[in-house]
Amino acid sequence: MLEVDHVAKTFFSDKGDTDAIEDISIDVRENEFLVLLGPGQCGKSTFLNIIAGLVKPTSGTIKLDGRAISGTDQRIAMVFQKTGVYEWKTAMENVEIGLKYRGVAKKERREIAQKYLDLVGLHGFENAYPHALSGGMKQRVGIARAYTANPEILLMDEPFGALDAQTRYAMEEEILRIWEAEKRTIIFVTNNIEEAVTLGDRVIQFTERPAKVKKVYDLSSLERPRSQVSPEFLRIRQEIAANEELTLE
Amino acid sequence: MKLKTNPLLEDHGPVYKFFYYAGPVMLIAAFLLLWNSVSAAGKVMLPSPLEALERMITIWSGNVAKHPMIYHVGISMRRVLTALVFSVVVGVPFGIAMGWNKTFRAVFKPLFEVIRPVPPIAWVPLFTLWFGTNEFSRVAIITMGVFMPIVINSYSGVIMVPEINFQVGKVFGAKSTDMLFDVVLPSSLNAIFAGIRTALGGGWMVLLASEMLGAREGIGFLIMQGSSANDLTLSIVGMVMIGFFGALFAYGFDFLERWLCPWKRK
Repeated sequence: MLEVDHVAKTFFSDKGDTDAIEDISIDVRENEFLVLLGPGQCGKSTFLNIIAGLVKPTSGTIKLDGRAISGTDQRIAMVFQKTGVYEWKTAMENVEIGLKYRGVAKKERREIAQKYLDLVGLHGFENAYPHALSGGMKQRVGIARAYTANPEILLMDEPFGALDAQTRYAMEEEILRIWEAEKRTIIFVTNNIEEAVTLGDRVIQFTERPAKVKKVYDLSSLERPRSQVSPEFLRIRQEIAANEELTLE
Repeated sequence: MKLKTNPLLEDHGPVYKFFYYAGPVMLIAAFLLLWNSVSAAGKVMLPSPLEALERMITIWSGNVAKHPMIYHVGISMRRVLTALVFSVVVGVPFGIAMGWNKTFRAVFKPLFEVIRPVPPIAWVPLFTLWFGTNEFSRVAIITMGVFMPIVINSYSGVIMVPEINFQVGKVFGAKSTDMLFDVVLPSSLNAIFAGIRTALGGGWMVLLASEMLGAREGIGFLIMQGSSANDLTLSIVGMVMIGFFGALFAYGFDFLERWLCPWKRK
C-alpha cells in the first residue's frame, strides 16, 4: 500500500553537505507492524519525517495506494516524541485536532475522540491538561490523537524513548493491545532491539548514517504475545545485535 | 493512573507553610520599621510612616491640589490604561505579524530596532512641540514606553514556538489560520503576558515624566508638586499610591492570565 521508492536525503549547509539517507526502498504491507531499527542519529527519524511529508526527499518518491504523494496527507498520522502534545489543550482537545482542522462538527468529532480516549485507557482524563499527566499518559494522548484522525498509516517516532523502563514495557504492551483492537499500518522507529523484536511483524535494520537498509527480518513466525525470554526471541535478538554496528563516539 | 498534584505546599512542613503566608507580611513590616528608624534618626529629612499615613488620611478625606485624591488616582490610571490598551490592541498583533510573516519582519524590524533604544522620555520635546502640552501628548509619551516591550515580547513569543508544534499542526492538517490562532497564539501567550507586565511597570515610570508636561492633576503631578513645594510627605504619599495601585494592577494581570490560560493553573 505504501511504497518508498529510492528515497535519498542530503542536507545542504554552509559547513558542508551531510548525507542522511542513501537510497532506501521499502514496500509497506497493509495493517502490518513495521519497525525501523537503527543506531542513534542514523537518519531513521528523517526517513519517517519524509514519509510524513514534513521533510522533502532529495530524490525518490513516496507512493500511497499507487499514487505519488508530496507533503502531508490525511491518510498518514504521526505519534511524536513526548513534546508533541499541545500543553494548552486538554486531552480531549488534543485528540480531536485532526478532525477539527478537517472541519468535522464538534459533536461528531468529540464522539470519535472519546472512543479513542477510551481505547487508550484515558477515560476520565478528557479535561486534564498535559502538565497534570505523566509521560506515559501524554503518549497515550498522542496515540489517541493519531487514531482519531482516522489514518491508514500511523507513524511513530521513538514514542517511548523518553519513558522510564517500566513505563516503556507497559506502553509496548498497550500499543500492541490497541493495534490488535484497531488494526492499522504502523511504522515504528526505535533504537531499542528488544522493543523492535517485541513489536514488529517485520524489522528493518538501518545502517549508520547515511542510512540504508542493512537487513530485513520477518518475525511473522514469532507468535504473539511474545515472551522476551523465549529461545526464539533471544535468537533473533542476538542475530540483530550481531549485525548492529557498534560505534562509540 | 492518577493526576499529578501540585506539591508546592503539600510536600513541606508546618514551618514552611507558616513562612509561606507570614513571610511577605513580616517583610513589609520590617521595611516600615527600617523607614521609621531612618526617619527617627534624623540624619536625612524623611517623614515617618505614621506622618505619611496621617497625611494620606487627610488627603483622602479632603482635596489636594483642588481635587479629591480619587480624582488624581483615576486620571493617572486613565493615562496609563489608555496607553496600555492602545499598545495591546496594536502592539500584540504587530509583534505577532513580525514573528509570523518573514516579509513583514524584513520591512518593519530594522525601523523598530532603531526606535526601540530611544528612551520614551526623550520624546517629550518633540511631542510638546507637535501636540502641545495636553492630554494627548501625555498619553503618547506613556505609549512610547509601553508599546515597545509589548511588541518585542509578542514577537519573540512567536519566534520561540518550538518547531515540533508546527510539525504536529502540519501532520494533522492545520490550515494557516488554524496554525496562527490554534498553535502560535496560545504558544506565545506566556511571552505576551510577560511583555504586558513589563510594559505596565514601564508605564508607571513614564507617567511621572508625562505629568511634568503642564498637568494640573495626577499622582505624578502630586509627587512633583511635593518636590517643588518642599512638601516631602506629599511626594511620599504619591509614591505609596503608585506602589499600591501598581501592585494592584500587577495582581490583576496575574488573575487575568490565569483566567485566559487555564492550562497553567496548578
